[in-house]
Amino acid sequence: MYGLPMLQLRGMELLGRNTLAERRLIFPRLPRRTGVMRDGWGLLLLILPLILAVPPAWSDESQITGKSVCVFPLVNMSPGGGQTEHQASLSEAVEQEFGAVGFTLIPQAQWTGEAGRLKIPPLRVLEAQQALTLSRSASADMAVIGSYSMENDRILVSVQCYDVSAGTLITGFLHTMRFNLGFYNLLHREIADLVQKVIFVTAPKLIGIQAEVRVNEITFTCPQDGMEVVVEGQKSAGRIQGGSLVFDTGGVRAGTVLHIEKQQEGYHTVWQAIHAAPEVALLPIPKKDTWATEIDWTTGQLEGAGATMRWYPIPNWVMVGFSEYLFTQVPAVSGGSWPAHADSELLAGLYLFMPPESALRFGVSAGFGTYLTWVPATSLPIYTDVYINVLNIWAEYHIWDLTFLLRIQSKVALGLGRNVLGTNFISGGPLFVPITLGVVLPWR
Amino acid sequence: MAIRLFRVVVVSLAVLLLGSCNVLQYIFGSVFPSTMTLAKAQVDLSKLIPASNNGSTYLRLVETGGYGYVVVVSSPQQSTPSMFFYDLDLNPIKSFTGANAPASSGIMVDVNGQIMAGGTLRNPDLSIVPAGTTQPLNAVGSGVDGFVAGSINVANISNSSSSEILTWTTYTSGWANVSSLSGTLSTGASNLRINALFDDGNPAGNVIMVISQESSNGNNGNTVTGYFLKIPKSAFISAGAFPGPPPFDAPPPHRDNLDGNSFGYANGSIFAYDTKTSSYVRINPADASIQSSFSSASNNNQQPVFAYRLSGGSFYSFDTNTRILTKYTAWW
Repeated sequence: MYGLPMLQLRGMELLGRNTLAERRLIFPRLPRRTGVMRDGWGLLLLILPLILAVPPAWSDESQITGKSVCVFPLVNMSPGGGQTEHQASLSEAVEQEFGAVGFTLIPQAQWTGEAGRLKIPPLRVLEAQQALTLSRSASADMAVIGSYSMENDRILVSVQCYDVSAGTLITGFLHTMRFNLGFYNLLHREIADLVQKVIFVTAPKLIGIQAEVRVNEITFTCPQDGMEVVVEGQKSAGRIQGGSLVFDTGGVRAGTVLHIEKQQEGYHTVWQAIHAAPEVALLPIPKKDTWATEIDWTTGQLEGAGATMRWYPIPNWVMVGFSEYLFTQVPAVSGGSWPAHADSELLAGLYLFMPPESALRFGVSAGFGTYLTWVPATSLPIYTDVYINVLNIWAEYHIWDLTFLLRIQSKVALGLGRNVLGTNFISGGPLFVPITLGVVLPWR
Repeated sequence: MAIRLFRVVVVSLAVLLLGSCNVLQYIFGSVFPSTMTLAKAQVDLSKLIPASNNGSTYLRLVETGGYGYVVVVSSPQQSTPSMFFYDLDLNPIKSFTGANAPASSGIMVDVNGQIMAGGTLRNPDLSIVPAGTTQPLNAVGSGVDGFVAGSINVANISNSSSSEILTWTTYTSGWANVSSLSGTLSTGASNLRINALFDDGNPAGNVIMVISQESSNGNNGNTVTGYFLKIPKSAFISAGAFPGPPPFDAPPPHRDNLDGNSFGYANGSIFAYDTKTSSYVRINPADASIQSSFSSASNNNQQPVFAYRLSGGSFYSFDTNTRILTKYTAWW
């Protein structure tokens, strides 16, 4: 959910009945000095710009709202103690940049009293530990300290920003600049860069915000019109129409796992787990197939092709199939014969493990069949090779609206009647068993 | 250009590799034997010849006087011996049983172009020669049971596997007995077996004798190393003329992994079934090299014996297991 644009908050809102604790979770640390925040309408007014302005959820402004900072006056370190007249303007520049992006500036009065009580002289405020102590007493989130030193027309400025609660340095800078008419422009730019770094580093994790967002409506999208959507096996959300369905959740926390039952007459019922969000894509459900045609090619019989008619007594789980495979043998010598073979087979099988909606499925089948062999332009009789198909193991993979088939067969010729193959395992070559590749086309 | 050449080489190597691994054969081969594409006619003799009871069944092919016959000679131990005559398209012509086809009977075309079959001399149309000449012939495992050497009929050929002495009988053109002769087949090798004896069709020519040493090649009793001996027919006419034992310390042309019952002769070449490559092979008897082959893939689980037309064109098999006689077109 990182990077979810605020635009998607259309289906979310901060509920009026939310507790204060929830509100704080959603927008923690609202500016304390903003009295309007204690009012529900004020809260809404604060939120509305966020919603209507459609800034991304990760925008800087949304991250820094409510952060407070203690900006300590920059300490004058100039040789001989001169140049004190610049202290106020330099410190003000720092305050302006932090204040401009929404930081709450802690008034100096809130920490000077504590400094006096602790007997901390102004110069020692420059020390990080002292500044952090004072900032902590003023309940500030950050502390900014700094110093400057001027000599001739050059000025050295040093500014550091600390995380008060962590007691760690966030960032800072030390620059030597020429003190002329352009100095303050350069100084503001440096401080602005520092502020941006502070914002970036201290920005709260986005998930922390969105996890607490409620979803009032879920728009289910699915290309399968007419499919009924049942939420948690109890409440029907209705049927997909025009590729979508809006479901009123009554308010559910974003990300909540919901189990969706998808059903439609003539289709398999399928459950899908979703995470509550304004828009959820549902996968189509597979149709119940009663009949299907299989086109296939088998090694050892490649000079031809076969077709199987499948009937599913239990749609897409149990099947009975009758196949007819016609093939020939291309003579390797001139004057040779062109035997024609017809392989007729009756099979019963079932799918294993994977449900119909799975792309990859496995199954087994068994049956019996007969090869009829006719050799034109000879006086040879018609041969009959009856066989048992002891076990077929197959895999089907559904992709591009087609189901591809790979089947490994184990056939045993029985040597009955006038036959060619005798009593043997039927193979396409030494150490191999016949392998079938094909495509399954359901009747729809 | 170089890339194209490289691709051609790579593809060629891949095809060769696949071919050598029988992959292509597997992919494009048929579950049915490739010999199905050669089959032209078939006769089921299972109702005429009983299932094997340790007797012998031979397949012979005789052509004389414009007639050609495929002859199944059955000599079962506990049933009546029979000779079944078919024309070259396997249409039934005649069958002889009992006294007309005594056990171990052979068949050959004699000096006069008449057929000595089942001990009875017959004209090319199988009618009995009025003189009623009779002579028993011993059948040789494969090939011919007798042959014409000059103006002499040579028959009753047999080998004693214990002494390695080959014996035969010579007859005049009128089938009067001339003499019983013998020759030493080997002095250094033992357990020799005559797998086949082939007539090159020239009375002044040679016979090709295929012999093997039992258990000399692997553990399959039917798979042998075949030695090819070309012997002048004149050596069979006079006593002491037989060329003597082949030098087995410097073996005659030979080839491993051949089905001992599969030998045939046509177009000047030996034919056999190579059990290692599962293919029919045409062998040059002079050096035992392969001249051509025909893969039969999955087919060799039956027990066929073969006969080839001397002039080629077709060959025949009789499956001693299923008792089915089949005509095939030539593959070579």
